[in-house]
Amino acid sequence: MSASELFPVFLSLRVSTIATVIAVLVGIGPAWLLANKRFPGRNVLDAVITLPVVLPPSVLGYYLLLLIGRRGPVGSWLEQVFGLRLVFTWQAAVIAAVVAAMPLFIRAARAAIEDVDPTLVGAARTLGRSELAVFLRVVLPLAWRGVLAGVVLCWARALGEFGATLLVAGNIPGRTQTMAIAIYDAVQAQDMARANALVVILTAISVVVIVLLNQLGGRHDAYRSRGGR
Amino acid sequence: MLRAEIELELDDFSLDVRFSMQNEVLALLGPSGAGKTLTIASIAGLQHPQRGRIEFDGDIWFDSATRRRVRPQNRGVGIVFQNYALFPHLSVRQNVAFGLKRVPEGERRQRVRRLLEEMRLEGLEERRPQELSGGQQQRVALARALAPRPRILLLDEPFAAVDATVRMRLLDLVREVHETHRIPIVLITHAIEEAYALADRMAVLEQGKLLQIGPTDEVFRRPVSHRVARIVGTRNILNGTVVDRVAEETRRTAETRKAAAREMRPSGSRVRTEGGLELEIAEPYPVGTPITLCMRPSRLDVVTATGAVRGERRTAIGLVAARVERVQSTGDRYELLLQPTPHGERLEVELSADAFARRRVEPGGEVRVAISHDAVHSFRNEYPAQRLEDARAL
Repeated sequence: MSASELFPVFLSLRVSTIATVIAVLVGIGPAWLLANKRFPGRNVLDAVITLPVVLPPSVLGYYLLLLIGRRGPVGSWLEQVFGLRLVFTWQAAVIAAVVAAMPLFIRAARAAIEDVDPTLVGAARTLGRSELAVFLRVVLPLAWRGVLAGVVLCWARALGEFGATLLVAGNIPGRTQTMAIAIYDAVQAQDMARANALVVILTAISVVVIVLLNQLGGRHDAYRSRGGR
Repeated sequence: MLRAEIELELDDFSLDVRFSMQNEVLALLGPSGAGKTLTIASIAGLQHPQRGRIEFDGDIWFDSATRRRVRPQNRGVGIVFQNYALFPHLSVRQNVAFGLKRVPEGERRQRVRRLLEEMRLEGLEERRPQELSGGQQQRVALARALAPRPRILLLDEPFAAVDATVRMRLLDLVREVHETHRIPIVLITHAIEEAYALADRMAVLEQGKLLQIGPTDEVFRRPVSHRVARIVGTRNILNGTVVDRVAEETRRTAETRKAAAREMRPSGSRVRTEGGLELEIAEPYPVGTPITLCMRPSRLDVVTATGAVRGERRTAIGLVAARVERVQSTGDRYELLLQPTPHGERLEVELSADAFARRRVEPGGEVRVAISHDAVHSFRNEYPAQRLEDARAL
């Protein structure tokens, strides 16, 4: 495959990796909050976070378009203040991937955090350590497998993002054409050789992801089964 | 030192206790589900009562009236949890040093070393908790809780998961901790022996209520209610009714009868138990009072059916004919189960091996149970007659 034919592969890897980093940084806070705290609006937050999983990607993309499009509140502000246009750029693909994939990370991370024995957290608190130290020194080391599984899941979902990406980033070869969109494009153009190559690559990545997830999940309870209760 | 008023409501449980303590060991005794763990979690700040106030040495840790809530980080409470709650991903040394973040490196190392010595954990510094025995884990948890020099130590069923010999050594260790660290200790337990071995005072809890608090010995000897008597393990609990007042005279022994006759005043009561025993007790109650009698097995004695009643046993306020149903030896003590004849509640009597040998008691034999004055503790029954049945079913 030529460099231009490989462009969708590199674009997809770049978009999904950046989207995953953003999703982890933005999502870990809400994940901890949902796992630990009872607060007003908790159910609303939970619902908003879950919504992108349930909504059809095209509907999600439509909402995003309303938000960051040139006439949308965020889009028009960005254009006036910074002269930026997001729609139909690869950055828009990142935003679409973040919104579509972050819920998977948050849900997995939250479950992993909830799994940590609350007495351990209580013990750490009575020993005088700050909430941040308790999270970094106790919760995260014990929940890291589940959190990492969430990261992998999030990345895989971002890598395969299609519907929302198509709506907000479009299908511009060499600029915004990601792998999933390129496959669609190749099939439309009856270019089966190109479609086959991309499909093989995506399938291979998916298999690796599944193996990775099994590894992470399989030893998830290692501490608890060994710890003498 | 500590004053706690805690009112806490959960979905299916409510806790309402108030007590205070000095620099002493206080045992919280009660069956599981009594609210003991919730009580210490509230003291530590890991649970927030709906109402109440928790004060330590003039510092207010919690006050629902002013909405004050000091975070667990700033209370200076050391806890040993029931499952130890050691950090499984950290070594013994790291576990103990966990609460010493603000202590300078050199002193931190020294303090950890000294505590590990005190808890006899030398050589295990680099092990992970799951590589230790139950007793060792327990001692790591104790060292970890003591490292930041807490102002009070809370122990949640610390001996539940270790075997008897380890338990004895841990009991000694906790006593040493109280002496060397000079901090109050709250000890949760459901085993009366542990409370008795360690505690200066004892608080008895059941279903979220504090039933009695006082010096350990006092609570043990003089429970104020049927429920407390059961929880502290009183074995001869008899329900009955006062049927008569007893004149002082009849309670006295033959030697003092003349003297007593001169000042015959009503004192004491005659009680008929539900099983049909008639006993006299020292406390004067009005006729008809429902009453519970507690008799500690070690304070009862037996004499053979035909033998003379001599010496101190003459002061017995009751002699009950009984048949020996069972004899059980626990080494240096003998436990007898006696069935009064022709009827009456079964009684448990505990004799030393010596006394047992001298009295020549045999299973199936006929004896008399000598019930002396100080063996009987009585209190008005808090239950109406109907609920006595429920109480006994517990």
